[in-house]
Amino acid sequence: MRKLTVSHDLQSEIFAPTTPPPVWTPLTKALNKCKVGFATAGGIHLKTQKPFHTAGDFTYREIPIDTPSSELMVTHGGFDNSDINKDVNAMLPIDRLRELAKEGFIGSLTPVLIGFMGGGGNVEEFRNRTGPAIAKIFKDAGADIVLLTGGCGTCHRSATIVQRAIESAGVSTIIIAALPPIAKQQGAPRIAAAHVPIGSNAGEPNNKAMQTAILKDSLNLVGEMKEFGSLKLLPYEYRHNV
Amino acid sequence: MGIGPSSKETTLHHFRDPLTELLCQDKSLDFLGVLFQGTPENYAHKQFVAGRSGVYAEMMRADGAIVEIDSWGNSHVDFAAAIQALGERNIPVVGLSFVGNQAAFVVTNQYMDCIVDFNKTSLGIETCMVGQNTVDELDARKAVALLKHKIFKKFPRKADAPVTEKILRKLRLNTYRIQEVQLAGRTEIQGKRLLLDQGGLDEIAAHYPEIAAIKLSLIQPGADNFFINSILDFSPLAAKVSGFPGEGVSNVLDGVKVMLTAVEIGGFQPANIGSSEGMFRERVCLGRRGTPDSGEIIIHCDVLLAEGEGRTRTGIFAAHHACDELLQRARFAVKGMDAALAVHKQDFYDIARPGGLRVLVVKLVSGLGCMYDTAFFPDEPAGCLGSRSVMELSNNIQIPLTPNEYRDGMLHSLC
Repeated sequence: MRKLTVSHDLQSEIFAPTTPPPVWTPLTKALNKCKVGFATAGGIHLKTQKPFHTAGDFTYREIPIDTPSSELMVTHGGFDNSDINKDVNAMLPIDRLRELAKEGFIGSLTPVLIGFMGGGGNVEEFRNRTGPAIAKIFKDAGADIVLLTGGCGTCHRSATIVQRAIESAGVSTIIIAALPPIAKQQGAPRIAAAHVPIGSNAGEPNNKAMQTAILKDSLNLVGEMKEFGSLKLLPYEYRHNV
Repeated sequence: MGIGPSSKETTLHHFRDPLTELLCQDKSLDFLGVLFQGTPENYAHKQFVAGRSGVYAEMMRADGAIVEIDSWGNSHVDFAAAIQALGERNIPVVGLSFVGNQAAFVVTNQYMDCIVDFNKTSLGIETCMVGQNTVDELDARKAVALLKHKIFKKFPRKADAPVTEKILRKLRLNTYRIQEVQLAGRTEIQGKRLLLDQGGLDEIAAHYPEIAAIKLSLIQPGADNFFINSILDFSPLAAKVSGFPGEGVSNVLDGVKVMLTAVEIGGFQPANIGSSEGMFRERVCLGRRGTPDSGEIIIHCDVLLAEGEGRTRTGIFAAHHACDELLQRARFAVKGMDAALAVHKQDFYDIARPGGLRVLVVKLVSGLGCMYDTAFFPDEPAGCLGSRSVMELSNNIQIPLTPNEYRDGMLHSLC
């Protein structure tokens, strides 16, 4: 036997995380009676608000529901922002939400939506402070459903942490993910995912039909999904040239 | 480095990659080469590309693989998938990644049981100091030792196999010492003095619609108390004298390195996940494989980009190209050096070692779009002109490099 340069029973230096315990709030109302909120980890904020720190930031911004989409912008590293720059609805579909409320597909919208920057996010801060704070905003607003999106990889993790906080507060949630295995492993209660690049979770920029379809399908799934960790791939595909 | 400044590998790092060096030296290994793959932005394509790494490793009959990555977050999806693809083919695998606290894995799988974390900070975070969280000799040693351990555990017979050697290819690298650099009206090397033509910068800038201006300056050893824009790269000044990449003769200068920085008109720093603009002493971790040593002179090329071009692939690519145009003038002098004056003459070999452990490196590089891309096979070692982009050449699908091709500067970092 050749002499080895290593000792026996060496182990990884890294703790491998496992999926956290289930959190679940069943949806008990019809969609057209529900008050719906939206939170994105994709770094969306008002142009007048302080931009996020791209190396890691656990603060959040309140976005009034009547904000014109032209007044929103993105500050987020870790993925190509060009789609959001073309149309912020690709990450935070604020125009589509208002249309769905107007047509009566959903009952109403919460007075504020939430933007935060989940990239490189501090897990403890999101779990212990930011998540519960955002959950309280939606709970106090009387939300029945909150949808979420995330941008990059760690951003999906931060989004899922916040999603779990909201679900734990008694509001049904679903994440519209571009990287569904991250949401799954981090313990998202419900996951929808279309075939889109990171940054266009909610559909191709300026493609109103696709964005509406992804949003409607995701809302329907909130009631249809019966098990923690349910994941459904949505039949919409978009590729972009970068 | 505008992208994950402290964990990103520079062109200089690739040129003298510690893992490749170690694997080539280890006589018990039959080092197959380095399989580069990009990290796409679409989940399905991430899975597809990473899955191919497992297939190629099996086709090469690899006994084991080291999967190495210099980014994290969404790229860990690719990293995990590549490790899984290898593991499912019963190929022992060790991972090398920056993890720390901030980059804790967003996905894992059962095959990620052996990861070397090359975090170098007590807080475990991505910092804005270029070179700080990159692979060093010790990390490489750990990874190789762990992989051998894993292979022997799985295939005990391998430990007793006799190893023979067959040289496939030789690369001669001549190193020339430079002690003084001057900006001048012409480019020339006089003994240990490099004269660098400082004219024609506006003409070079004019070649690129993305570039407004180029500045050229020198940083002397010890000077560190000044502001720099976001660092795009560090590279060696090397030139091909004869032969194809990975063979023949290359020349490289010692005592001098190149730093490329950039900023947009209007002040936006081309950055993504932290920016390395700031005071030089706080933004560069000297003495790493990917950064100059403290005693070296730095040729500083600072590019002023048009507004918005610090956030596009074309703008970043243009900055690298323009810098390389500038360096190309010096390369003609480097090519013409008298071999008798070389302070080191190193011979690198691609060696087949039948009977040795067949080890493959799978290296994940940027290929996401926006600022994230990687260039392959430039005309000159560690250059940029003539190179292909990993996104355009192959849409991130694997590109194999022999150890000597890699050591001959055939990979250029773009972020």
